[in-house]
Amino acid sequence: VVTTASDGMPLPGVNIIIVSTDTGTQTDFDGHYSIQASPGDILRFSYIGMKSKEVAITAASNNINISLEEDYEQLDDVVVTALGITKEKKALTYSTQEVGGEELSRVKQTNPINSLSGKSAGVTITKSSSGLGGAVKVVLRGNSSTTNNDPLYVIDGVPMLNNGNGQNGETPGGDIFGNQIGNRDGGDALSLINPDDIESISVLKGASAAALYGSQGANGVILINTKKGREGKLTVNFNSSITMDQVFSLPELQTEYFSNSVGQPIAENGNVADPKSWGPKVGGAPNAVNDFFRMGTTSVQSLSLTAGNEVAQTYFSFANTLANGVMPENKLLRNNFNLRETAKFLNNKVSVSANINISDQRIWNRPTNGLYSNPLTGLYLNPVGIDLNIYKNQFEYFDESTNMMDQYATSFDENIQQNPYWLTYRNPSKDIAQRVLANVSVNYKISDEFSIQSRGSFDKSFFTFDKRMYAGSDLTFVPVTGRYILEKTENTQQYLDLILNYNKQVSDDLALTAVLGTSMTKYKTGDQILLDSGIGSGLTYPNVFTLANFSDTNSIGQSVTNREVQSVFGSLNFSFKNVLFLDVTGRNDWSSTLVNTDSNSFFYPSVGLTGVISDIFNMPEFISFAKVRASYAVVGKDIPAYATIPLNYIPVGQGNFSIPTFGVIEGETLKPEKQKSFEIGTEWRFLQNRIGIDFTYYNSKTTDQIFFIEAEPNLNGYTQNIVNAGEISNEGIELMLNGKPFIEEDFSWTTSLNFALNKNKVISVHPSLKDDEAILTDPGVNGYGYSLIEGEDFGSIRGRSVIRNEEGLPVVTDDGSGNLAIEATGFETIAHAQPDFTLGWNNNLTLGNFTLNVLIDAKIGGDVVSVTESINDFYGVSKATANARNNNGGMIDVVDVNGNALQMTAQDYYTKTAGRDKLLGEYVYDATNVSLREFSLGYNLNSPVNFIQNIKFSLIANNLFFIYKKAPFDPNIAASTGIGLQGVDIYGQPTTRSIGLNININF
Amino acid sequence: CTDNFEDINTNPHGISNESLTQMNNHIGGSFTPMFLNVFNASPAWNYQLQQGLIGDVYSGYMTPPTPFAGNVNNMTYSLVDGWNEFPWTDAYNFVMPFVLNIKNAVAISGDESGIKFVHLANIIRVQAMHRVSDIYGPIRYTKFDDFSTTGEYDPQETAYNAFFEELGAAINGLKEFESDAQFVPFDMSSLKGDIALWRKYANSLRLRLAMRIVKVNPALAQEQAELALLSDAGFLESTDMIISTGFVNPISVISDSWGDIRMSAEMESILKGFNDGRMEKFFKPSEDPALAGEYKGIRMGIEIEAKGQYLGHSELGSVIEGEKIQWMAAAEVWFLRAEAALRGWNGAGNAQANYEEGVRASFSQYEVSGVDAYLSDSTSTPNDFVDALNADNDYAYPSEVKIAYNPLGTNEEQLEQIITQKWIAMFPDGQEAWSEFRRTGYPRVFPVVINNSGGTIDTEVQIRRINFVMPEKNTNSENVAEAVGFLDGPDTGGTRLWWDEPGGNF
Repeated sequence: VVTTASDGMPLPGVNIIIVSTDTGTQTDFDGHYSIQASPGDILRFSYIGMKSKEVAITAASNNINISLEEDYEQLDDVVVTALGITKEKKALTYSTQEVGGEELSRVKQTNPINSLSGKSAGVTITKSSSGLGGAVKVVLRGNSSTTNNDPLYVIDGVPMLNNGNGQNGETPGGDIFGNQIGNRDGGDALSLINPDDIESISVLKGASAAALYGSQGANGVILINTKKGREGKLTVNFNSSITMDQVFSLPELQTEYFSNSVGQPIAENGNVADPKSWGPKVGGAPNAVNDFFRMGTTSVQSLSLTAGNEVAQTYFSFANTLANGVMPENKLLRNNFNLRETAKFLNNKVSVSANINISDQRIWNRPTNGLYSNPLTGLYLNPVGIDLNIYKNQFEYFDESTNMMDQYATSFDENIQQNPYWLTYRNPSKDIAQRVLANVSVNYKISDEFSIQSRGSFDKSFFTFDKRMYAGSDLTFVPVTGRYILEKTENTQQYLDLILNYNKQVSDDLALTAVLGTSMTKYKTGDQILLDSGIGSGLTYPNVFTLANFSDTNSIGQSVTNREVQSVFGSLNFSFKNVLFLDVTGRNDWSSTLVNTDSNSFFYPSVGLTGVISDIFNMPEFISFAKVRASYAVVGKDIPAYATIPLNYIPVGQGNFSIPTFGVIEGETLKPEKQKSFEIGTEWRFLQNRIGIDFTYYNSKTTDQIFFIEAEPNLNGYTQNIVNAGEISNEGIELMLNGKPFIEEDFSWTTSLNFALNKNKVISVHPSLKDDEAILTDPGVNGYGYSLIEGEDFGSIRGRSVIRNEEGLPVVTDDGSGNLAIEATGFETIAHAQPDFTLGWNNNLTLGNFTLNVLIDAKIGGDVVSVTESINDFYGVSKATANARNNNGGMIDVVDVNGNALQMTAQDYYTKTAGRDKLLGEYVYDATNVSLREFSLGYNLNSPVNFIQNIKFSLIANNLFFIYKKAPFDPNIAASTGIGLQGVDIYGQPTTRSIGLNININF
Repeated sequence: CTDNFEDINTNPHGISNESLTQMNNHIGGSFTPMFLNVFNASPAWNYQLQQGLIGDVYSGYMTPPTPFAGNVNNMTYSLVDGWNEFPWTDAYNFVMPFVLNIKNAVAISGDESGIKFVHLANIIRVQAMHRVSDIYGPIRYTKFDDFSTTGEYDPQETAYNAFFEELGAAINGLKEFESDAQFVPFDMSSLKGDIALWRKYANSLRLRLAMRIVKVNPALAQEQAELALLSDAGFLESTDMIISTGFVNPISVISDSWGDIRMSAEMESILKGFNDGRMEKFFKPSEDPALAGEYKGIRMGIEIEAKGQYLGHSELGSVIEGEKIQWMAAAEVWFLRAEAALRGWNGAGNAQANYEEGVRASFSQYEVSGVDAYLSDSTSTPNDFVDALNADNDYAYPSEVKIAYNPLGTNEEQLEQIITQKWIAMFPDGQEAWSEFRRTGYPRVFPVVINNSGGTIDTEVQIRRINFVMPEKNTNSENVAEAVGFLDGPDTGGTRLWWDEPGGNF
């Protein structure tokens, strides 16, 4: 058997020859081989990406097991780049980083992209707080755009659609503290991919790498290469993993100071006298929070089959994911099917690949965040001393006057204290996501020099959201008869391309590769039908959730976004003596969104140069490889659909038409957003590739951003203008270090460190804006705002703070009656959420049959804001308020404007400073955190029976604990994966740690 | 091939101007948003911010039991900018541009009879914009229709002069269209497209605005009032101006569903003190068992810890049921005529007779019996207010105003009777009631107990206006700065409007 040295996996297709003869063979898919050789012969084992090994045959050696070591220089030989074009890695003029499928699926997550965290420099991953199957926000090299910072995802060379089904905070200014049905995460299409199908992920971070994708790739590209069938006999891989998930890092709540309601009668509907907890110190209240959350479980079973001969190969996989969330009644069920056929015809001149991927995901009671319709508010704010078990065991009561059940809750004050168990059982939701991704690729090798390829893909997702809110839910959002929401959304993308390849060895020294292609992509996204019985008259008959029971149609709606992009692109790659490489690319896009502007076409060039200096100059022995590279690219992005054709519209349930709410400024026009970026980098490897360094510096400037700004007074009735303006710069470095301190036969240790530092800055915003501030989320009646401000980092979180004197004491004014008012600042920047730098440290140790992987993930810098803590303080349920009441006689020391020392009670102080609309500047926390992100300990069991090749058991853990963290919640989780609401926690589901077992069996 | 890009980039769910010309919706359809936004009909929270937490509370009509924003809000004179921009944005998003739409559509059509639509649109615009002006003072009005000047403000006096001019032109210009039926399909009001009734309504509005400026410019007030009193158009006498919105009255959502508005202390004092039969129409008995089914109001601007404290006080009653919003009650016009008579203006008739007609019109509107006994009640006076929970909020009603008209009283006494009854009759239009309270000082709206204005609003003088709105300050700051100059003081809630002269009414 031939295996790899690093992980003991069998190697198929290894060439084995008897040196100095023509006799040779190849290993089969399981690494088996047999060859006739005589003692004294020398066998040479060679394989791309591995160091060749020679073994002399001795008389006794009937069975020679060989393990081949990876050869970094060779392994990196070929990488998949933009448009699926494979290139020699050493010829690349930009930074790219590949993460193997095994790295991603070792510790499985319900969204495979989560597994990228810490494994690639310059990739910032933020999870949504909605738990199972939630969306993920990925930002490459910092935020650069006001409209969209999501990278393009490409599967096997074809761009895929990653639109989900609506995401709160997607548009700036959207629901800030939660809308009536909770801040929803509609999930994304990525979360529907089976992690076991992924062969590898390449991250093209810079514009140069992505330039061939033009407007779609302006935020970088994540290339996902999936597995395909291989020649050889049928092989089967079965993988089973089960993890237990547990919440941690919960808000700290107090159990000492009771609510004044304790001892008072409870009303028939459960209402208590005082919903806050500012009463006497008693102590010993039960902490009901821990009872609410449960142990979650996630089990993933996946099976893959591959078989084939020289002509045709098949890959089939099936995966089933079944998970129970940490919140009661939250459940996920997902099934993925993937079938891929590859075949060669006409003397291998034509190769065809077809792939169909089907997934179906159902999520019950997906957690929401925000203040409304979220069980966590009522859970955390439960009046201290009032036993939540009463409300758990009886979340509804029979109302004789209406002859039906009604909600039993402590309070309906401010609409945020609904009974968490009522919301769980009487506001159930169901999210269904189904996706079909089919693609076909045909490649015809016309001659040795020419080949032509065409690919087509059809990508369609169907989303259904069904929410049933029973009569008795808070009347602000749900009429007395209940409310039913049924939403159906489809996203469709059709893609077709045609690419001509030309390879020519022009002379001994000069080789040329040219690519010329064209593509067309049609998008139909957010094609939605919304059926909502609304908050008006609601349902005719209570609690019957069907369309015929709607009493009015004032809340139904329909929407769709259409877009078409046509492109012509080309690239020229010159290779001089195979040590100096020059890349030139160009792409022209025509986008439908640009009609009615000066031009609906835009051109993006890029140029890059790289030199393998270790091949050019004579280097000392210890330097194995060295190269330098530089590239420059211009990329851009079209503008939002329909922006140039403002139309009257018929707003839902308003009974009239409305004039457009935004448009371009009279006499202006729009143009595509443009990003110019430059990067230089160098790669070095030392001591026979035992140590590797890859360093990149980049710099990008994004101009002509799309801003929606408040309109100046105008005749069109526009409240907002859409303008091109502003400039955002990003500059940073990325450093990747690889090392193999030990590579002994039975003990090896490989380690890699990813470091990325990004500084971004808003250079300018639109000149008409007051105070150089582009408001993305207006504070309105709330204590939170989100803006882009000249000279500051991208995304300034705005809030007010307590004014303090030099000693740090709050300054107050007395209104004459002894009522002290806290002096507060105006709205000012209180936080920027982005980390200054990120660090991932990945270690892989092998000892005999044991392997150990440890990933430590660190994000340093940045600040986050906790609205949760602020509201908990306002209600007096937080530990902080108990501490304040326990110290200093329960008084807060303050000073008046003349410096006279005064005191106010803790209750008075928190009532005036805490809450959603108060001084959120008091609730800013350092986002720096270091966590043990992944841990796995595996054991390879050598085949106990014949038909089983290999069994591997692993103990796996994800997000085990924080080595360092200051914030009261997990700062890697965001209230939204859209563009707004970064760095704010508004009653998001607490973070979870997962521990479990993985079994992998190869047949 | 990018030929179809225009089609692709056109929102299929939009509606083009071309498509709107079908069934004349390019003209008629523009009336709908105006009908639905002079008083915002939906969503209810928009109404709440447009009027519910401004005029409806400052008029002494209603009070929320809810300590919004920790009880630091409009009610305690900490003016919440995020709320108070709604009267402005509703007007400039849904009224002003649509009037211009109609003007443009009529001009393009070349049909001379289209002028009737312009007059009708102008009447609605005056109805909408005098309310906005009575909140902020200077507004963007006469220069709105020209792109180069649209951001500029008018002093309130200029705006009022324009109102008079436009109403006058409409009253005269519509005369020849009295039998024209083209407006019938578009009229969402109780006037049902009857142009003669629209003339009456415009004429009534003219009298309302004339009366408003009586202190600052008595001559013009009398001139405009007499134009109305002597006009052949006549006044609304039995027909109330009511819009059928198709939406549940937002006040009923705010009161019944959200529990965010309740009877005011003043309403309790006056209606209870007068044994006024309309109380049962306006309010419901308290649900709080401690109040034993009484009608109980809340004083504005008091200490409220939690919503639950006053939640069980009287909800709004049947007056706000249905899908209707009242723009002008016929009763109000009778009281305007009573005041005109009191001032001795030509064509006004007799003050007492008009006063009594007004009360009768209101009783008949709400189908309340006993109007004769009520009108002859010469002893009942408003009750002193007693807070159900906190004696700090008690307030003795500072007047002995009675129901039966006393023609022998002083002018001020007679005016107090007229305005107090008009205040009851106009319920629940708090915006107009607040304006008339500021002009006349009647009825005796109680001062706040907690004043968080930071000294900008005097507790006794009470709030006089709302400061200019944030969106304008952000985008139109130079013109706002000029508009501040048109004010008689700083841009705060304590500065009096142009027509709001201190001192007596005579």
